[in-house]
Amino acid sequence: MSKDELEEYLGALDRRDCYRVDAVLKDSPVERTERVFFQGNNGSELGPFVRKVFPIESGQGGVYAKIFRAQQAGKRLAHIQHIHECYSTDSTVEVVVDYVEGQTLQEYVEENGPSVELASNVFPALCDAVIELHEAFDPPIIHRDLTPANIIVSAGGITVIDLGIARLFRPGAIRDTVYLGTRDFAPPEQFGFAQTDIRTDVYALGKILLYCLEGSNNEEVSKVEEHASGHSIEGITYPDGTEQPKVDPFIAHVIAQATNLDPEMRYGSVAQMKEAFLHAMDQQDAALEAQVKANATTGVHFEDEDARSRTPQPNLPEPNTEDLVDVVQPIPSVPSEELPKVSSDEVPGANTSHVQAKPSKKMYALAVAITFFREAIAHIPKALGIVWDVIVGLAWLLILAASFMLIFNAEGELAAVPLWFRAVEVFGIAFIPYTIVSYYVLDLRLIREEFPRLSLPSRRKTWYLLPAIVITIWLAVYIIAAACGFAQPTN
Amino acid sequence: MQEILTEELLSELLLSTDPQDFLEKYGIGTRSLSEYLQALLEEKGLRRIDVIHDADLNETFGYQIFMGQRKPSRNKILQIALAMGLTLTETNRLLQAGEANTLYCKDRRDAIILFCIEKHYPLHKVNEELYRFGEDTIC
Repeated sequence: MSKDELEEYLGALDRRDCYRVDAVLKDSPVERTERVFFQGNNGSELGPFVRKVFPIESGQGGVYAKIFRAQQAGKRLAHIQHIHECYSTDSTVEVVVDYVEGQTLQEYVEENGPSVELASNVFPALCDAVIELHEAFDPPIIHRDLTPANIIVSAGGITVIDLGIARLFRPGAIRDTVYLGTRDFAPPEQFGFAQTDIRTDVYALGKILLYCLEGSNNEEVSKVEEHASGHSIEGITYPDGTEQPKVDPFIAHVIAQATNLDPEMRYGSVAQMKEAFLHAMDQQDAALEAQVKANATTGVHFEDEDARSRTPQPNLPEPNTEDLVDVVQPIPSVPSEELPKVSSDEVPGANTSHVQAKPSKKMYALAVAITFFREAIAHIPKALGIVWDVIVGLAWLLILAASFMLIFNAEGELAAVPLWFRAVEVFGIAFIPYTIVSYYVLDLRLIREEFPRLSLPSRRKTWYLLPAIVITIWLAVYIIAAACGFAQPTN
Repeated sequence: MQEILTEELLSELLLSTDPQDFLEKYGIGTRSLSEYLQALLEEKGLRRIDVIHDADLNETFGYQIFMGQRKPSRNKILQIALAMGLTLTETNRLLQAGEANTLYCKDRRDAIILFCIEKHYPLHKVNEELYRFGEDTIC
């Protein structure tokens, strides 16, 4: 096997001269990047390619060698450029890779501006690329130089380039006289305060996500960072005094966690961060939807000056209850013994004080608070959730048994009542409502995982029906009792 | 546009490496072959007698090289380099110190030796490979 390698190596060295340099893309003391074409014997050309030349002392290129060997061995790597050549000479390490067409993320944002759409289109795919780097190799390849200039956005997707350039960071080297102000994407450990690992890339991705949303607008960036440190979010202030945060709080939370200075506090992997991001996007969409709905139900229009100065309507309290429900709705159905607590009692009745055209700060803050609460509950281990389910199930069985006992072995007052009515009464008043409540308090996460095709009725959307159903059933029982003369069992 | 940061950091590191390497890199007072050999022995914790044996050198001759009494040929230097397990950079510096040509990748024989150095092949294996490709062996 090594014999073939040597031959290939000699072949690669021979081919060196066949590459025609079309343009020099970058020329610095530690790296030269060229756009090259390969000239065949008959004068035809292949390409373009990118050739990177590193001086041997810099120690770079080791990662390319690793990936090259994997690709030669047949490993399929969907998000990593194909490496055509990778060898070292007497003074350099040289790598030839595919030339990727497209704009860098930096160019794209400079031209088109940052936006949430950009983030939602680009970020998940970017995460996939980095995940492949981490997971396809053991020990994982840590990019260490993820920046908008190293991400190419093209019609075909996202490509991360400039692999393993920053591998050489050794913990001992600390210079204190160099200006590192533009180093926006590297976490502290990359400067030698700790070992770098996959969480280093998590940090960089957090910064990139922020970049997608805010560009290089440092003002906005620092606002998000303020949020990260626990201070209030500042954003747009409307004429009526209400405020709306500029970077959506759900996404800001993701960014804040990813860019925590302490690696221990960040997401443990890019996969986790991707999940959190998608989750945040869902929440964001739902919250916005809810607000639009809320505005629709209160009959308020955007930018409507009259609406803002309108006096409160007498029937305002009712819509506000729904508002809260709509806001609460989008929260993922996570087990919650506390579910009943988030009831209409907690509606910020203060909303009746004036009609608002934009989402009220209080409702928004409540939505955020509820979300964080849900997040906390989501961290309860699934195993515990299953234990909870078992307990709920056993209790349900107990109630079932008790119900049957009551029906068939009734004593005292109940005995006076005919069997069929007993059944109706017991089931209607106790059992069916109890079953419904049980369903709503179950922890269904693991079950959803195991049986993805099972379409369980959504609790999120229907939980306010619960009291309605229960009351209806009780009413029905009462009516039947009254109709049959059993309304007053005791005499 | 300030694209340079990666390089800045790298430059930092390159500058923060062992000052000896730094000096040598900038060719400040190139030292003699025997000096460099002694330094390498110390650095790598090797014994002269082991190196001479692994390099397939005559004991007396080897001793004289290390003492600076004899000037070895390029091949002999390569033998020593392989015996000591030097990196490519160190090998080239040793060759320079010995006033021989450094390894040049465009020369087929040198390229094979380059490859073998990177793979940490022992001397006899290097000879095998050279022979296989029809080049002159080292010894």
